[in-house]
Amino acid sequence: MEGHLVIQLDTDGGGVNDVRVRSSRPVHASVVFQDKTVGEVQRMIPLLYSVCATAQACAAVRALEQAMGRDASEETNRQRDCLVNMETLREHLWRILLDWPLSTGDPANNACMTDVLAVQGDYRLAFGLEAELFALQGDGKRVEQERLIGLQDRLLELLHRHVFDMPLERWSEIVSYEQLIEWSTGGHSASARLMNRIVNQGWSDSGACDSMPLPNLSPAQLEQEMQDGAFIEQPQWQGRCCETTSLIRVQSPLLDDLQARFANGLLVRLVARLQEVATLTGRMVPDRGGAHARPLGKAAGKATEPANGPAIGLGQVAAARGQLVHRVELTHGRVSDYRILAPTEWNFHPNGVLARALAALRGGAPQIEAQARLLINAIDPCVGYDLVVGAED
Amino acid sequence: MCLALPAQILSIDESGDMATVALGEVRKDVSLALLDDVELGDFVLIHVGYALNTISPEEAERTLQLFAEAGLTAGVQQ
Repeated sequence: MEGHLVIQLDTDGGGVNDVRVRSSRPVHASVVFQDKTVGEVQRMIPLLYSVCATAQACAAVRALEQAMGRDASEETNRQRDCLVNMETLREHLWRILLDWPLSTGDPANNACMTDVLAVQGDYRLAFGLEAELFALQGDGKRVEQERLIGLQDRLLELLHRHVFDMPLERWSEIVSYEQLIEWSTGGHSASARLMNRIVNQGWSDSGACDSMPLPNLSPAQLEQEMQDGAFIEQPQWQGRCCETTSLIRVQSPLLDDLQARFANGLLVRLVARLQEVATLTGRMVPDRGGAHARPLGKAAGKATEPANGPAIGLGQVAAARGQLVHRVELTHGRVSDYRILAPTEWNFHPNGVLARALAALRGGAPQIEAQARLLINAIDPCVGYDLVVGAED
Repeated sequence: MCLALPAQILSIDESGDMATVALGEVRKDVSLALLDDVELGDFVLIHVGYALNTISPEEAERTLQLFAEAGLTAGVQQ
């Protein structure tokens, strides 16, 4: 029902000979919005896309607002971005707390994840009714700064104890590979233990490959491309596959140092996730420390508006797994076309970054399988997958 | 696309950590580690092996109806 990925690797004892990525994801599910009113679409979105509901609701309302020529206020957009960022934090911490421990033989940290979910729930409540914030031209109520600071402190405490083994401020002072090694060697958290394992196995540069970051596509370009159903299923830009992951959008001195040594290998991808957790936690309180929440999502700009014909709108959001785009056509107040381009279609394209990263793996089948699972989870599909590793005769 | 599927709790193991849920005709084992106070017959949203939160039977029905409209339930209506 939710779709599935099947990832097959052929190995020859020394490395991977062939990679096949097949997807049964229902990329055209948005056909369900056909002929619906704007209000109906907005009520349906959170039901269909419950897991990344905030990013989907945000992309939807931005597309609809643009099609209808109704702009939300800066404050409303800022609050929407805060909630999308919180959802991204939850998704990253899901991987870190539930998946990463399994890679080092430890149990999933269910208790901490439950606490993270509670923080997210309270954070959403602090912004009032989400339905109002994500309504057309939404209603960004005044948010109590003290309440957000309290929630940020709760999350910082969880991160200290379960993710960074130290206050986030101190972890953020790690700027070199050597300092990272020192941290991971002495750490007890799943993150430190996983980094340690990857370094000790010599897997820091595993999966390093040529990968083109998804550029900032203009609304006119996107609007044009998204009319093609094949683009939605297997997108390419100017004939090339592109990557849209957290590695593409975060920067830090530590990542600069790691990328100089290991390109976009496994260690770099995992540190990028930690780095984004650190960055987004810092943005939970928009004005704390004078740092405004820089919107990760962005308004799509003015879409093309034919003189005669449907009104078209695009909404873009930096969702947990990459850039999410909604494109809507409205005719006489009803949806005449609705398309969604999700990041998994870029990253898990048959010739995309995952396929290229897997093709670069070396080692025996068991080592390749272990590295492949870590890479798949690092690039992070939003659905389940089967990994099949076979030897070629 | 991050679809979350409503499923009904059919049984809960002795530890209370795992449940068998029904998605149409399909049965699946999921973890209850992230939820409190789940009971037999409850509807939950599931995501990669975990029950995320409980929802009302009415909301579950509305969601499943939407999935059906989108042609996403062929695999579970056997």
